[in-house]
Amino acid sequence: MGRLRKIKALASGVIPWCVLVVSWLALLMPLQLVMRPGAETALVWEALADAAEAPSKGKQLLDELVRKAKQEGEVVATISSSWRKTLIQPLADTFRKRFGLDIKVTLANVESSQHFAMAIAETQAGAPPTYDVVQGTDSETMQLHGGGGTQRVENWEALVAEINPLVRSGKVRLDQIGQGPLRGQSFMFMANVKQLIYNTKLISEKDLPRTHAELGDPKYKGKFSQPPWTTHWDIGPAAFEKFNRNEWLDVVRRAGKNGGAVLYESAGVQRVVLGEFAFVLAQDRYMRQIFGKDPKAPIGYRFFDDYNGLTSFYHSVRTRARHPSAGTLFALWMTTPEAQAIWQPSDLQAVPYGDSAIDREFRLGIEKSKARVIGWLDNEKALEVLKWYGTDEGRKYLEAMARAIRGE
Amino acid sequence: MSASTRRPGGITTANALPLAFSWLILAVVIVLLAFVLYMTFVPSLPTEPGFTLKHWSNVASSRLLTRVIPNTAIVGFGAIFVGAFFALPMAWLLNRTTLPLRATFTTMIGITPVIPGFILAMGWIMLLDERIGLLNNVAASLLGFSSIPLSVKDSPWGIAWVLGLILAPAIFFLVAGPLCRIDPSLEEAASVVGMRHLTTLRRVTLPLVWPGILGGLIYVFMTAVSIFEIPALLGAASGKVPVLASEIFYSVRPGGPLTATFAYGAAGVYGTLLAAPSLVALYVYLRVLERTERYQVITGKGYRPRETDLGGWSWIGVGFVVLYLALAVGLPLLVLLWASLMPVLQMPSREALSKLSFTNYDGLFEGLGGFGVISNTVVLVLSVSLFVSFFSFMVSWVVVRTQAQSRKLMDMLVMVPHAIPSLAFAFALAMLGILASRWLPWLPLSGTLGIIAVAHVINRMPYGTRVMNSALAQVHRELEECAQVCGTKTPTIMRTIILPLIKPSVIYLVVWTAMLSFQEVTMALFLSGPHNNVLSVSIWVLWEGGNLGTAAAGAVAMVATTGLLMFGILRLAGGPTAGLVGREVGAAPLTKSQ
Amino acid sequence: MIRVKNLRKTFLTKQGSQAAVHGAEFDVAEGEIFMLLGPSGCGKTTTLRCIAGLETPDEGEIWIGEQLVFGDRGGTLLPVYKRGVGMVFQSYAIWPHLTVFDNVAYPLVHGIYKAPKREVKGRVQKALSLVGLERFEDRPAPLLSGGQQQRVALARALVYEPKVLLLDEPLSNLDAKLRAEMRIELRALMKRLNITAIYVTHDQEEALVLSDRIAVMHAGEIKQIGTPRDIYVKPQNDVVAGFIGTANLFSASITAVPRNGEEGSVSTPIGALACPLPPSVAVGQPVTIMFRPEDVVVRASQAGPSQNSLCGVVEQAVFVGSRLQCVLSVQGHKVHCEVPKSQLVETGQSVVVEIPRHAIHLLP
Repeated sequence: MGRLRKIKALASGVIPWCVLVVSWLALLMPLQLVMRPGAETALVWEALADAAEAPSKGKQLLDELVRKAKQEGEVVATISSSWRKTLIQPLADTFRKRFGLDIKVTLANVESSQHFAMAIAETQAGAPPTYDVVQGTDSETMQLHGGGGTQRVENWEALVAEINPLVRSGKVRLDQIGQGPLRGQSFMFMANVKQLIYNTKLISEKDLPRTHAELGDPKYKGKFSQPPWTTHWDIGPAAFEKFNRNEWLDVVRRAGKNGGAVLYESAGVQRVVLGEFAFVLAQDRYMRQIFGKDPKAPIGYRFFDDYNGLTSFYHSVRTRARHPSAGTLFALWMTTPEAQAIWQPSDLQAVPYGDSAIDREFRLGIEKSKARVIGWLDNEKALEVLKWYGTDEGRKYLEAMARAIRGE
Repeated sequence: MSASTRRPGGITTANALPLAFSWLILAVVIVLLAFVLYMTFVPSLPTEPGFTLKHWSNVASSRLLTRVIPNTAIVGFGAIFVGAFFALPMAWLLNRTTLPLRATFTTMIGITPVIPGFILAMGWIMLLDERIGLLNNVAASLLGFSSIPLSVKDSPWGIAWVLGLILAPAIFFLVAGPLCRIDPSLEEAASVVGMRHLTTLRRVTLPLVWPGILGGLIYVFMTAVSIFEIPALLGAASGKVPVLASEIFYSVRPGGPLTATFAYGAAGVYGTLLAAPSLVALYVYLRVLERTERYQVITGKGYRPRETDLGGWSWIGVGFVVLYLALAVGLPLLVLLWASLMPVLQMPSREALSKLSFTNYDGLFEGLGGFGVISNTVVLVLSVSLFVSFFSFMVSWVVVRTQAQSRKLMDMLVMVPHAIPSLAFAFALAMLGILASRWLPWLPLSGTLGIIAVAHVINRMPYGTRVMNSALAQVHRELEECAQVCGTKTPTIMRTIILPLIKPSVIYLVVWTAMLSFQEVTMALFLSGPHNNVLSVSIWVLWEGGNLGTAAAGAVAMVATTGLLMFGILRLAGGPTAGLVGREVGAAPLTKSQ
Repeated sequence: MIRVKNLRKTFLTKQGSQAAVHGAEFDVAEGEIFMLLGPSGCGKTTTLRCIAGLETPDEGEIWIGEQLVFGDRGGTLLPVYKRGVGMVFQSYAIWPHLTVFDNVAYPLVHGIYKAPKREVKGRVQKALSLVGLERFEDRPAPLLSGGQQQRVALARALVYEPKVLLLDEPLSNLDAKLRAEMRIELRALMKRLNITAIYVTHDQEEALVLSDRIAVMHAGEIKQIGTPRDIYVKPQNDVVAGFIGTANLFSASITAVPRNGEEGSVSTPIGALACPLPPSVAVGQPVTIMFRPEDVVVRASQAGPSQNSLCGVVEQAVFVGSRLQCVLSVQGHKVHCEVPKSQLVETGQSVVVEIPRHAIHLLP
């Protein structure tokens, strides 16, 4: 701020005062916000709950929701940034057709890791959210939830059962769609699991590391790439019986120093295919993607023996959403096989509870390799770790881990 | 003339208009800078309470001094060196000589920024990687080694080389305008005095375009040290060659379970670190510019750009340009084309050749987002280049052509956004957008094309004002004063006298700004909302989603269209040198009747 | 027509403020050609630019016609484009992107001198014919010679028929011969149009030939205003005397005052000289005397008794065509003089120098 004052002093004379006043006001604006946290809770759902006293009235609830959605006239939702734009039209059309809605549907590719910060800020500022429904990973959604950015869907059990035939038929349990603290808040529809993707021409399956700790082995020096984010390591503390934070950080650092590059997963996979690196830590989706395009591509995959992180994706309706009913319909509808049939063929991520070839292969692959798959919300210990990461100490640990990945 | 006038009545009417517009744009800059600075004291999101100094204290580490800063310096100065090595001779060859195919060459140089950075880095790895690099393998087998440790990867020099190649067009375009307009009588005078061509170039031409060159180099230095994606792909990300840009990126985005509340404040701190040396350089630059009079090379006297006939030497010139184009345009375009024809990118081989297909081009138009995205892109690119040109002209007018006391401050202020990391800048803007949607709901900012346009305009103002400063500094003040005496007001003079005189610079600026805005991803992605998707984001998203082939196909389409467009624009404008009097010179025979 | 009162203008430089003009004051009558003459940096161009409105003075008043265009009291400041003056710049300021026609037509097409479309062509042609450039209309301006560009600049300044014409060293970029021609032509033209002109130059010859009156400026001050003849013959101070033509200046003291038909005399470093003196002086008073080289008579030997004869040695003799310019050494002091070309003078020769008493002028 001292710098600012200096600038002002320098400029005095010719700078119109109003300019400075405006810029100072802009500076002060956030402070003002902080002092009056906007916490008007939406009341829509209480009304809905009253209307649906009988538990078996899923149909009634749905009709009511559709009626309100029609009144709202629009829904704005995010979809994964990696989803093709060609998916937007069919998703929107099918969604409208399914509920007989004649409303405007806007779906936008959004980088959730960037948008969720904005979403939390929107909530804190009391500003209306840009999107009615947002898509994000489990940990991101937990943060948004913690920041008061998601709305609970009342009677979600009945509604999901009404909308999703897999739930209605009993094939899928409710807790497979709404887990832990996110039950009734956010709805899981997609997941990927981390694995090793390797170039079969450069390394054989038996030479691959078995555990994460082995990544620090000198024989892998310069042979692999890993992404800059901590997702491959941060769930580690929840995976081991005995766990020492500092030792784990050393493991990460040794692997970081040993690696050939730190690249986005997509770039890393490309360079494994090119033959520059022998293997890469990446999610299963890339494997399917490359095989989909070139079945003869010289690559294979393997799970780690110690643990493999599972990332689940959720849809959440935003607090103060402009179109909450239409948003709810969309979030719930995205769990259905009908929606899955549209996005899955090109995105190639699995639906853990789904029934498609990809889903079956996903489950089979994990089962066969007896790989240990662990997600943030599927056990208490992981949830504890996730909560701890929210503390100052946890934050520092994560920062250190991110640096360790880059060999520091 | 470094003298400034004390005047009794404040601002004279002649300057009121440019001053008003300058302060309008600078107000936006100031607000954003203030916000970025404010964020460096906020623990997490600016909407949360709290005050912290940790972003500042975190930055201080020995690693910064021993590794990050030296690497950054190598990358910055190396890129300048490489860039200038190619750009300066090319600027002269393509603007002041009779080299064949100049328009085509200029167009190709203009296309370079459209080629996505990830493709460039990929291309260099495919060429020079120790294990798989084509050049390395060929050279190694010729020399009988198993491999040659010549790589652009994991070395600051390699990064500097690639960045220099990429940034050479920026220098080229900054210098080209002034070069077109050097009063040839100055050069002629030199040759009359008996200087040889090279000496003339060194002693007369170079000093005359020095403000342009210096401004360009400072700009390129700042750009080189703030580009993230290429150093990241070439080793900065793995911590092997940490540079400031990568430090910024990872301090902002550690990834993992806390992605949603990472500390953007740290980016502001690094931005300050980047801004400080740049501002010192800028101050030096301003001192040079103070002697404006020395550089006013368009006078009202005899004025004909002279083109040197290289004669037998022209093939060397052509060779030089072709070498650059091969390295900076040909190679990446080939890689781009190759990638777009491969289902999965792989090294060229007989097996790979059998896989060539056009499948990546199927449904490309819809894949990129169809008409909506295209029209968004066109609107964005046009409005950004228009606004940047307009506001740069206004600011430079105040800085170069008036005696306003605030002009130096203005020139510094307008340069600062260049030092602020795009990500921090976009974040600040997005935050302001959110706050605006709460307090000023009528302002169409959050999630609109407008917010991306604002980001791009502010971000490109430094470049725009560099171009305009050096262009305006070259127009002799009497040309403007004469028009005043002839009864016209400043706006008319700008339109009828100044703009036509600096037309080549303006055209370069418009084209170049459009290209950069067209290609920019970081901010456009961050600020993207439901209705403001643009092409570059579509292509980036494809790439990041693992669809390299489709992304490459999209990039090929992008390069092809922009190339054609640019070719057309330069043709319409009369080619690189013909902007001003080339045509007349060509048409009318020289007569010297006294 | 033009009245400048107590004009002051200070520039802020890195060394601090520097007065460019202080206290300039003059009147220019209608139809008069008024010359601001002085060495570079004397403030003459600044004065001109203040009148044009291109600089804003710190103090003073400027009137053009009946209109106050600048006044420090009341804060009057008429912008440049409303002042109704024509101006020719030192660099000509020909717009290189326009043809000759477009250059000249510019004031009539844009701005406050805008004329109806149908009139433009006629008026431009008329202006061009005034300066003798009728056939050059379509020529791109950069393809003209220096002299032609100068004429275009003049035509452009005249095309809207301003009452006042300001000229800033318009001929300084031309070669000597052309310059000499243009002087005469320019004066004839301005007189024909009966235009009021202020003309800035550092070329004394130009000033003498062209002007009706001259103001000699030095270090921001006007040292003398007068007709060319006055300025040349009766300079009021050594600065003016030294700047206009070549002057022999010597400090002297009065040895005798004129009385009863007797002449006064002064003693100078080169010897005692008789000269006309005003009645107000007193014996012993220090003064400065001045005489012009062309008034000095040089003889090979003493022709007979005569006044103010001194002995000297030729130090330097330069043949300049019409005459010889010599530097003599008299009592160790340099005396400039001119000798007809028919007279043979050689370096080292001893000569007799005669300074006619009426040629000696006493500087106040």
